Amino acid sequence: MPDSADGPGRPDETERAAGEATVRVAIVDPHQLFRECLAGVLAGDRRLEVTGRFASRQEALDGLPRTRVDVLLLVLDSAADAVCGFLQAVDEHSPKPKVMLLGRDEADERILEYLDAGASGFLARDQSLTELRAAIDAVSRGDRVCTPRLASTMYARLARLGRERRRRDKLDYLMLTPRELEILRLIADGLSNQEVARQLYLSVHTVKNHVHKILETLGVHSRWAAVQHAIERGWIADRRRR
Amino acid sequence: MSDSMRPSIRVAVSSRERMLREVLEASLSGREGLEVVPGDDEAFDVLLMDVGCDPAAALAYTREARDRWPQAKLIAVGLEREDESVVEFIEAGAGGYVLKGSSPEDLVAAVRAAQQGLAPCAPRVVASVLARIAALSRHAAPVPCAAEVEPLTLREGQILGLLAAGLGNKEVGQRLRITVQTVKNHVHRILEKLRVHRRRDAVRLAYDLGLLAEPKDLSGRGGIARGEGEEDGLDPF
Repeated sequence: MPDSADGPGRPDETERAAGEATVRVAIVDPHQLFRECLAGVLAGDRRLEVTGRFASRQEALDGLPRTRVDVLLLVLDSAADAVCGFLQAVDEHSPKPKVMLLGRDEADERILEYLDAGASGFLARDQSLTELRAAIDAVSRGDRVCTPRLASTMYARLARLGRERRRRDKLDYLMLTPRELEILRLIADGLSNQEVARQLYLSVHTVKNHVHKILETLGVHSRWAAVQHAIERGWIADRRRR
Repeated sequence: MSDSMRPSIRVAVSSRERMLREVLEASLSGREGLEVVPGDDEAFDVLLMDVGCDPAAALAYTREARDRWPQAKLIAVGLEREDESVVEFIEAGAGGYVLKGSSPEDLVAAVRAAQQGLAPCAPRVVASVLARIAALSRHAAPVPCAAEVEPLTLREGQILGLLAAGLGNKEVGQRLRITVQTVKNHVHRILEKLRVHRRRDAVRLAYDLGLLAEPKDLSGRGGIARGEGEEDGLDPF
């Protein structure tokens, strides 16, 4: 289970264990008053160090090479375009800062896209400063944070994707003829094309065509992948020798 | 809206164990703003589903409940810990979960949160859910739109249905009392309209577009006839 946006196996210099040095935070927000006030408030926190204040995303990208940042706080404005582009650009910096989004509309599905594009977390503007500090802390350690409302939207999307996948599986099953299922069962038992042909009184050529069609229907590239696919979905029993 | 004006949240409990169900129901009744309703009543806002000792059955039940009551919030109750099993339930349609080690107050809080459209968001679960969303999105194909396709005639729809049931050209001809050549012509027209090259793609597309109803019971289903009786190795069209 990944606990950072970097993926497994890659050492992340910006992650810190509990009790280590301060978390370096940079703020990106065109709203000067909010930005400066927030910077001032966070600077008063001994565990944090505000290393950058940027009035725009472009300014942030320009400043990143010279600035050490563990957590980049990106305030989402109404012009939420090109956030994904920004995230991709940030992704190319090494060490890569964790990006935390601060926004208004928690149920906005685009936020899920931002999280998918590499943002580590999302906080809503109606949450407290205490929650913001806690979130910065969590994100710096590689956790992903989001609000309960956004989580609800996220779960609904997963449920929808899950339903669609099951529907596709069901259609895949419908597209296989009983004959093809039979062949799949025999292949699962370890029979070669010749043996299958003999058992079913078909020509090898016909069996090969059926197998080819099975692979195409299921979108897999080998007989064994097809068998695996069918077993995973319960279409045939798993009787493979271990 | 003040609390006293807000309508009560109708909560139902579903469990194979009668005693657990009655205990949960008793624990919830009398709570402010909640109204316990029978699970079979079908008029509830939140459904608490006991995971029990058979998670596979509970998952299947969750999927069914999601389809039957799309407006209700489903909460999986009794999971051991916040691990991959949580993600399974979320994928099956649960909007929230309550762990085995929770208190009665946690249960009430979960019901209220679900009703407000809020969900638990432990970082580990969030990370796993995001990973699963990414994985499933990779395989998702865009769903075609019926409006982009030239409508099929009644006869063409009939033939497509028979093809979906696994009949070959000859059988279709016999069923509809038309010649094989006529069948082939119709099939050719269907493929043209749907802009595909093979009959199995036409059937697949028809299901996707809702032109064909998916059989609920798969046991008697057919499939696209490979053309047994037709020449080996040749796709009929």
